[in-house]
Amino acid sequence: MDFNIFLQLVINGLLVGGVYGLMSLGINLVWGVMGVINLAHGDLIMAAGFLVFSLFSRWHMNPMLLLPVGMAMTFLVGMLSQRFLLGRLPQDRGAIKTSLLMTFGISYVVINTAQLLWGNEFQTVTFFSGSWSLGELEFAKARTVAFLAASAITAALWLFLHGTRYGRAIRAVSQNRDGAAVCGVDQGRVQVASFGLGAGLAGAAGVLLVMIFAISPAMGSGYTIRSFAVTVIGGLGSFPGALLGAMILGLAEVFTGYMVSAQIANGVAFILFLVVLLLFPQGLSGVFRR
Amino acid sequence: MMKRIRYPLFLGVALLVFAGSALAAGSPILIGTSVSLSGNYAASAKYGLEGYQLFVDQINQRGGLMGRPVRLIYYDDRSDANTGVQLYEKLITADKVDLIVGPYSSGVTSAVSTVAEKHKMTMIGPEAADAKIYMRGYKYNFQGQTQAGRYMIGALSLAKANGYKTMAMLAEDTAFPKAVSSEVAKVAKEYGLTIVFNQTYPKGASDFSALLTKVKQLNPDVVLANSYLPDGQGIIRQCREQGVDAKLYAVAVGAAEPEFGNLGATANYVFGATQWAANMKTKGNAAFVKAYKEKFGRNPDYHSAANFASLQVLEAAVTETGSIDQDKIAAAISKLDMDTVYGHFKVDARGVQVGYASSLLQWQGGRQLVVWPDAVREGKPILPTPPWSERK
Repeated sequence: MDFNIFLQLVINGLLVGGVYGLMSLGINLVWGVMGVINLAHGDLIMAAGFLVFSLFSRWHMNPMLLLPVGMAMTFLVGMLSQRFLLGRLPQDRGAIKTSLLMTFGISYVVINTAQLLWGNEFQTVTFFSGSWSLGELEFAKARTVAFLAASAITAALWLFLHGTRYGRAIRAVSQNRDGAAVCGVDQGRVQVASFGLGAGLAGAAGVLLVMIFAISPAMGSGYTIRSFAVTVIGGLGSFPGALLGAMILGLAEVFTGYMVSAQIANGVAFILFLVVLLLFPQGLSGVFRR
Repeated sequence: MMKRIRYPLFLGVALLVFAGSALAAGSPILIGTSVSLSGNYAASAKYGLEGYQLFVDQINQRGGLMGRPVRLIYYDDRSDANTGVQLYEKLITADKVDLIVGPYSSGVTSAVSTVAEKHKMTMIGPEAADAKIYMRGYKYNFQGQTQAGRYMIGALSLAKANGYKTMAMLAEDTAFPKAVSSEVAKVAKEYGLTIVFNQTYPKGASDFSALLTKVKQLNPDVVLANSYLPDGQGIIRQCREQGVDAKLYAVAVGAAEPEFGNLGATANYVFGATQWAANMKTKGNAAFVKAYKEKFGRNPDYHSAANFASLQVLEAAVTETGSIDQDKIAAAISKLDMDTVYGHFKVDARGVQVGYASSLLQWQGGRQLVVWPDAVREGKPILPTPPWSERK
């Protein structure tokens, strides 16, 4: 393979991987802190994308300025869902199952609301078209902007979780629920904030995604599965693991698409998912921890 | 409790029937179909549905079919062939519709054609371009769309006229796009074209960057995207992002939709196959376009016209036989030779459409103009497409 082609594929893979990383952070956070797999995650990604699409098509403003709007909307939806729906479920032995069913229900509400508001068709925001060329390499503008934004948000989240009292409280709950409670951390509030934050991250991913690809209301579950796959590949609850998983997935998809076929590339997430589960049940981050 | 639920339901149905029978009397004739209201084909399928709806409105105003009002029953097949099969089973066995018409896309039509055949229900497929569906010895299925092999003839002709030599093809791996690719591959030589790249991608794919990296290396003169709307948009946009510089881009379905213009300046110079245009002098076309705009507040596309025309054909067959006997209707359709808004309808002994022809449009300055063939053209084709680096 030509070295330039190789580099181009690496660039394409990493650029997509950055967005996959952001997509999976929210699902990872919610799982880590609350032990809940949010099946509505992909639908929140989609909903934020559509919100930004409709604002963009009305005012034609830079979609990056709408990033906080998309995040705020899903943050709010997430907080309210936790406060009034998930938070009210009994915390008994069946909690995982009931919360799974609840997020499944939320997913349907989000999908159908989006269909009512925005119709059923595919939409995309074409603001950053074309690419920046560096020698023979092409950096697609939309993907590069999305990658940079995703990296910045990821870094900000890391700082928040490690550098602030609130972030530390979230991490404390994720590490040891009872211990955190003994130290006076209000679990209810942490859970509301975490779920909101997870949903807000989904929103950010949605805003970035709609700049790159066309989305439709029915596509959300695909994003949930992909985010989940990234999280499992990287290791549930692990922050650097998820990013590693996202990059590996992005690269694997692009290289398979180039060398084998687009059909196989479409299934690479699941192949990786199975391989990792069979060989490293703790995810890739588990390998390094050992 | 049951009574309470049933009563308003009954009332609702009664109201619907009553509304339909304002001008035509008797029990309604039910026409069943599935429509891809969601999923990959939603944009195109919506136009098709509106074509059906307009026809049903008009026939009821004219006094109905054989003096009976007509009612359209449709469900969302989610652009999915398996769902389509279930829905047609339901339409035929549970709703007991009198007539059926085809869904959107060759993929879904191919699947539901077996249901129609099994129940001996005559079905015109207005959105099934893949002629293979009609080469299986079926008796009750008829093609109501231009054959897939004709879609890209315009683009190939322009490529030949400009002396282009190499061509890359990408296609969704479902019935229609694959049929277009294989038909083009058969005739490419006649147009002086060598196919240097011919690959498919799965339905629902949105990242084409890996495929296009390969296409870029081959540097073809012509890029054909045998695609619907979302994938067609994605491919053209990512051609730009990956720096694929072809002289001619053509999309099989997507570029014919007005929504393709959401790409902005990137849409310009792209060619799209269309089987019909608003300015064509087909029978009743001007009145059709006018009525459509009044009812739906937007211009019809070729799907609207194809679906409308299929019901014109069905009406002619039912009127001719004076019954809704499926065998008689099938016999009548196979012998029909009639002018519709969509063009001249005629099927061969197998049910393959031999009347309808294809034309080609190009996006120029944010508008679609028919540029081929000369008889119907609104503007001249602009070729070659300037390289992306020289464009806004």
